Amino acid sequence: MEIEVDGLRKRYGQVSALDGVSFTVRPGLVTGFVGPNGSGKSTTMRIILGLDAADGGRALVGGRPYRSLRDPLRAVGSMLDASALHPGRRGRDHLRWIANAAGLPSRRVDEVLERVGLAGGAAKRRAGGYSLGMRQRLGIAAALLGDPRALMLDEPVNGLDPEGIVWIRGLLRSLAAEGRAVLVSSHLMGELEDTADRLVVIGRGRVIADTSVPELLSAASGGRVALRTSAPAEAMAVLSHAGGTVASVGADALTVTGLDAEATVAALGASQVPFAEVSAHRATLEEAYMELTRDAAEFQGVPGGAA
Amino acid sequence: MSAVLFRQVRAEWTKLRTVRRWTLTLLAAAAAMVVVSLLGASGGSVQHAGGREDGPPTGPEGKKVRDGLQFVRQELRGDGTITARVTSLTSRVEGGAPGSKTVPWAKAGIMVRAGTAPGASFVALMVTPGHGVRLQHDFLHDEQVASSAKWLRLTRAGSRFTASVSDDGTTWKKAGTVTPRSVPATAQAGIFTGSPAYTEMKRNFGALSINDLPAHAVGVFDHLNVTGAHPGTWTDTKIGGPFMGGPPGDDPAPEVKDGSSFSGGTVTVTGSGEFGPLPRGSDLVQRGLQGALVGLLVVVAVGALSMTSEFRHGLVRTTFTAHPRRGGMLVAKALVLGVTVFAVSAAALAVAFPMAQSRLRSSGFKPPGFPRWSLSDPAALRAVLGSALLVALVAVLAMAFGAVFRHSAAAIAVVLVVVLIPQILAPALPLGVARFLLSATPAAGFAIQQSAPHYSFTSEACLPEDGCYPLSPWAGLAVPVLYVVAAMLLAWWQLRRRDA
Repeated sequence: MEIEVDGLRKRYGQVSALDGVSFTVRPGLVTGFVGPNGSGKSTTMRIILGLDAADGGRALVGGRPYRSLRDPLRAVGSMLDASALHPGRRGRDHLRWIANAAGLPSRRVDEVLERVGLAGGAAKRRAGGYSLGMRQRLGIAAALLGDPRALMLDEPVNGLDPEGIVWIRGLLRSLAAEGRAVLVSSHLMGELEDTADRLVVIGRGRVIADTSVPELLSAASGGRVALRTSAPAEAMAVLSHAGGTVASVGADALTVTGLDAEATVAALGASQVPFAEVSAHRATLEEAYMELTRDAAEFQGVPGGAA
Repeated sequence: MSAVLFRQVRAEWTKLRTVRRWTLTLLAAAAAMVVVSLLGASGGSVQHAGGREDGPPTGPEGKKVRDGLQFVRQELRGDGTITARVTSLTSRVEGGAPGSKTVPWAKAGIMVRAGTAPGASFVALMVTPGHGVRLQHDFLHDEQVASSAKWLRLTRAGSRFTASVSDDGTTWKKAGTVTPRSVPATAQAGIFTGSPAYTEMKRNFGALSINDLPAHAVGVFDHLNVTGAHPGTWTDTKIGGPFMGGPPGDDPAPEVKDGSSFSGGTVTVTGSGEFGPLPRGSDLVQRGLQGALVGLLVVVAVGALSMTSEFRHGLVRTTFTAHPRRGGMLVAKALVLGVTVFAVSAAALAVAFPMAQSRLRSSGFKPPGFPRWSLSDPAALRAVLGSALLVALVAVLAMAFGAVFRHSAAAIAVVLVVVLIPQILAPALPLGVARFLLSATPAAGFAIQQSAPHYSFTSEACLPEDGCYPLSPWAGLAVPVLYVVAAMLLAWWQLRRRDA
């Protein structure tokens, strides 16, 4: 079930939180939704769920507005805020009332508790005593209750211990592998590096990039090639002649742009210039993200668009 | 119930019962209702002086009634009419100059009654200084038939009596027809006057003064005419005592004597006493249900929190993602909260009521001076279930205000102001203000605790806090219902309008 966001706008007083946000979350893929705090991720998710009204544009789930869905929790499972719990209610009871609301059997409660690793004693304790990691797991359990075709999780990695992070990556991958559309937000790109198939980068209420992870990386790398050679002067002359732009970055290190690694090796080989190492420079997702959101991040103090 | 609403109701029920603090608070409310009802029933006691075996007479419909008047009569056998003109009706209040004070329910008119024993079935057509021309029968039935008239006529045909009025004695207007329960073929027909005591009740911020002064009505009649079989001679009879049905006490030597005098065609009848239903007096049912007020105070917190906790913890988003139609959540919460609080309160009050009544009886509030109440009496059952309904309504009101304000303290404060403050302030406020507050705020719902029916045509000195609410029981309970409906609509509008 596809989630489609088209030209969403939302203002809080004079402040524009969303300024024409469009993207699509496809089934079978994990879509990362990244941006600095206050960039409009949570606002977008609340609008998709019909909780906040957009000032313009539309958000559709399987082609329909969320509020017109017959069985919304079977279509979209969501976790907006892991702390949205009554502290005096047991974890299991929290899931039970949601199951009641969705008309689901209580068997589902046990199943999802099992899946998020809260089966046993933890679910019988009052939620007020939960760690942030346990709240995240309970929130994810609630999202999974309706066995939904699409999932939307806001900052699910936040507060998890390393073991939990590994667990949630595996969970997200397996949910996508089951054919569900998965939208996961984060303000840290690194959290999504090994998980997301696609990335929607948002900043200042606009979508800055909407690509696959490899595309984003190569765009950020800018086709640069790192070269290590004992004859930098000759190499620079040969490569410039071949059409590249060469910069010296150390005593025996050069960076080449305009030529890919293969062309660089061919040019150097033809002129018999010795070289020790040629590699495509690989930017990290974090670098790419920092580059993309540099402008947006300067505005992370903008009020209203709570992350 | 639609399937969607059923799911929401189940979800809200699970929410309500899985927060232990709320469950404990509801149980505490139940305990408070029982304990406070018992404490309220323990205060005060009454000593029966004994000796006065003759309590109030029993009317033709089996109810205790008041029956006191001055009756100038003769026997009327079979069908016939009695006609008279009332040329004047004045009040004489003890200690006051003639005509300086007027009793609104003083009466002068014509009457046909079964006999002279107190409590006998009757039909009467009368003028009053404050309430127009009234047609009454058998103590409990009253109708205003004209705003004013001088000439009065009653016509008997079998068991039916037709009343007619006229301004000039020639053009007659039919005013009504009544059939009293048991006026035999041979009855007593004549003219009468009577007057309840003159009551001054004033209250200003705590200082209450009730002044009950004996009063007499002086009626001047002429054109007295009886048709049908009758002996033609008049007998003057005093029915009941001068303070029939009033509080037993010392009768001061009256300045004015009851009686009648004939002068040509003019008859002057001076009479005192009141006939009609008994005044309500101390309401034992209400005294046994005082815990409802305290229980209500406690459930207001549960009602408000059941809604505001959703906003405070962000749960409302989960609720709305499960059911995007927001009004449904409001209705489901109202149903679950209302039914739960009603069940808890009804159970607590049903336990408290018999215990409180038994305590009251041991303090002297027992037959024959006071009625014996049990839960099987319709009025007592209505008071108990109605009180529980009132507590439930106020809980729902707090819940709806919780959705409007999204803040517990604000919701609780507003509900306490509109429900409890009038109830608490009523004994201290001037009467008019107290009566207004107790009919325009949800506190009017406490009227459901009144056990005695209210007769508008009887004069009584009774304060709202003693069980004489300005509205009848069900009309009173309708007031908080209206408040709940209005608050729910406001809450619904707010939920739809605002982002969750």
